[in-house]
Amino acid sequence: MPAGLIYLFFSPVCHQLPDRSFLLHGQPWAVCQRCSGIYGGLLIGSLVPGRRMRMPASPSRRRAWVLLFCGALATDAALSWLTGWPDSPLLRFVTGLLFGIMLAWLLVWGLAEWVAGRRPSVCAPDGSISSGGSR
Amino acid sequence: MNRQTLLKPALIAGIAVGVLSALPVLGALNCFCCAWVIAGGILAAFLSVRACPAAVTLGQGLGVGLLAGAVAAVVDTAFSIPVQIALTGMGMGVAEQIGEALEQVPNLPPEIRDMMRSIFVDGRGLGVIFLLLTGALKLVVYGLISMLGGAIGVALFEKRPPGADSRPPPATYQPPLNFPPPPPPPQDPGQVP
Repeated sequence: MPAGLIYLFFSPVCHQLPDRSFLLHGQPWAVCQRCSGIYGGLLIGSLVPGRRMRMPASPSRRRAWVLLFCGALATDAALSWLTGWPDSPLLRFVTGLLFGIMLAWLLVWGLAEWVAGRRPSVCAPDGSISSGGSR
Repeated sequence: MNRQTLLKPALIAGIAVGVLSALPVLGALNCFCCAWVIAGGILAAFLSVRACPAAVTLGQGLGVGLLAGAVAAVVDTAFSIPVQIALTGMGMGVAEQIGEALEQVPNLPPEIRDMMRSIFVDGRGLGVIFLLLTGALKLVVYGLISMLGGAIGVALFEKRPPGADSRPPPATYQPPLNFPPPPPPPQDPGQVP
């Protein structure tokens, strides 16, 4: 019963194709390999202490990082769906993992700014969060 | 960023994504990591960046994305009702759709499938309850995922440095240039210079 509910819960957000999902005791996971990577990346990224997550001070550098991680996932997904490019489960998982870590990074910094209600902050080497400045 | 600047983009993006997600064929794109919902968050952030004279922060992007996702969930649920009525007219009502949806979930164990079918499909009146339950679930899922889309949108489209403000500085009083000097104060007649 709980397994069925978990499958049902994730069904609107993932195709859940068994051949694209990891297996646990012969049963496919509730989400595909790429989504597993994304959720795993979100978990790993949120466990990294704030002092280790440095936010690029310049918007162009921040955009380049986001484009890199989004581009890796989007290229892998688009190539495999449109051209039948033989991507491996590992590649799907890794591109999802990198995307998830990037999402966690944006989420942590965004929430820190949102809660603090202040201007964009930069993490100092000692872990303190300063407002505004550049590194 | 004032509330107006935050609310308008969230409403526009939320309504667009809600309508697209409720459509029978186009809505299926949400199966790919909630593509419509993430796109809605990105769109809301893009509109905010365009509308706001000051640099939009990641936190504001999360906020506008969350709001857009909530609007999208409400619009999606509300828009689903007339779509379902239209489909019922064609012999494809909520109950039939739930039945088809249950068949399409590949990993659902057969006993769970039968149980869900007996509750939601055979008990026809519960179709509306299912619609409302799905709406509540969408409110959470769409909000969270669109929030992430908002952060991605700000990171992609905000090119101004943090704290930058493109608004003109507040007007201060400046005396006119060719103003004649004031007349000298009247001298006291009893005072000898």
